[in-house]
Amino acid sequence: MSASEQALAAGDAVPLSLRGPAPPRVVAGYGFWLFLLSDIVIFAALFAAYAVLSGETAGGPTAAALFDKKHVLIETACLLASSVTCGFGSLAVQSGERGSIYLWMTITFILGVTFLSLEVSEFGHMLSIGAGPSRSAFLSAFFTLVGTHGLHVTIGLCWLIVMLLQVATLGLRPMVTRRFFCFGLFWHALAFGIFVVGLLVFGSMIIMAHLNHNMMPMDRLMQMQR
Amino acid sequence: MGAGADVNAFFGVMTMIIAVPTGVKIFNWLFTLYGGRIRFTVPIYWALGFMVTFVIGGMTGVLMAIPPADFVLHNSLFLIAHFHNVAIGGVVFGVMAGISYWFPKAFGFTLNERLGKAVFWCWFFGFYLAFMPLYVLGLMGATRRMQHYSNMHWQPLMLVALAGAILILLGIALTGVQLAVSIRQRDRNRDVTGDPWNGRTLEWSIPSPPPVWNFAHLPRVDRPDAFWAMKQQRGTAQHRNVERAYETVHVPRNNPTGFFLAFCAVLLGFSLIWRIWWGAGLGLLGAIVVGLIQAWRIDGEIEVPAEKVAAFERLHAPKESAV
Repeated sequence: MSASEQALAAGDAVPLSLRGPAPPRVVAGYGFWLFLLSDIVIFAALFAAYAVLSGETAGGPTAAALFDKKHVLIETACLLASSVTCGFGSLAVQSGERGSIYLWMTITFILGVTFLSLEVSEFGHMLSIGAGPSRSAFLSAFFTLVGTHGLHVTIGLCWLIVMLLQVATLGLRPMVTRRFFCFGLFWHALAFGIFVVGLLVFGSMIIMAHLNHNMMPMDRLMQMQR
Repeated sequence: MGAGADVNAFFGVMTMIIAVPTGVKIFNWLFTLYGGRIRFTVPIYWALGFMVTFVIGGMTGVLMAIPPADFVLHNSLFLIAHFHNVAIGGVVFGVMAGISYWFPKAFGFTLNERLGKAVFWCWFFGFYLAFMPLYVLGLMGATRRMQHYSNMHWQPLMLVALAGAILILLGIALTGVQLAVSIRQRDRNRDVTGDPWNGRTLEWSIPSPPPVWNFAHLPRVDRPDAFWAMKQQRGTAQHRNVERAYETVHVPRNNPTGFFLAFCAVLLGFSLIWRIWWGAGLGLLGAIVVGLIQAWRIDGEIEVPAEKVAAFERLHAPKESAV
């Protein structure tokens, strides 16, 4: 614990200006949260574009015709499970058990690769039936949104390999555990992201498909109001 | 354009709403000036030019919050004039104010005032000559990025805009002259006090250029304008500072990673835009290699011994006669 952390814990009356700079772990965590927020802004914009354009199929295939619910469910499950194993890996980093770090992080990596290969095969299938990003505005928005997420997962997997090599060569020095902490934040955000993608894509599909059940016809509604 | 009524309405409303926080900022700046004693040096020239120009640019922006007007003005020179009005008035002028204000802090000598004012007037009048005609031309139907035009009614205003552009070019050239002259006269314009503007904020309490550790002791701040208060009670707070014991300072070691990473990123971005795939591959590979080298650096910090800090601070201790 650094002097500034001790002062914080003691809750004594040292003025903020005299406590000195925050410890590197706090500075790195804060900076990484700022990065994640900027990523969230990007995804919010892509979500908004998808929401606006999801109906603009230009005579091409619709979301309901293209997406296999089971397929997406498996993908989402993979990434959510990898979020859990990444959490166990982070605990192992904190307690310094190298064996369990390698175990949990390898499982995380395999789950991530499974997710990615499923996504790539799905993209390949869509391209092969002529449902590529240039087919309609809906598909442009879809490929941009999901492709950007997939790119993040790819970079995250590369990062994970680098981190495991760092543990092997540099050991669990503060610099390395700090980076693992940031990796954990990144990975959880990605898993959460695909969860939201799933909810949005399928939520809108289900709501639109069952519109007649969900929304009562106007004339009956008017009668009820009288 | 091309979007539905809902999207147009959304963007129209957002365009109107953005005027509210911007207006608040303008009042911030005006009230900062209000009641102060303003000295007309180069930074305040730029700051005042910025406020006036930015307000005009903002107001023409709000005009485009009305979707039917936006439909007509889309891609016209009216729009071009508007966003240059905010980009030059709001960004270039502000950046120039900042550069001329903090230049002595970074480099240890002030910039030439006469040439600085000449640069400002070239930019200020050049801007208004170049871009005010574009508002009118836009309303007359001129669009952007024309290879040629055959409407002779546009010609006089186009020539006025050209004159303005030449004036701006002169301002840009004079910036170079100002820098060269200032460097040549640097011994005459040394900032020996570290506080050339009689400033209120803490960066002016340390020497110019600042040492790598910035503050040898964290300054005690218990009110706004702490440095101003320190100067008011000169001879007490400052002296205690000088006599305090110094500690070894840890500072980051000089590191070229940022430079090389930015170089590779520029190569990557440029190549992707122009579809030069070998350049994109090279840029990406370079960025990855530079990143990995940085990831394995473990000697990120150096120590500055306490004696060195103490010697520097004693050498630059504020003198009674100064300020």
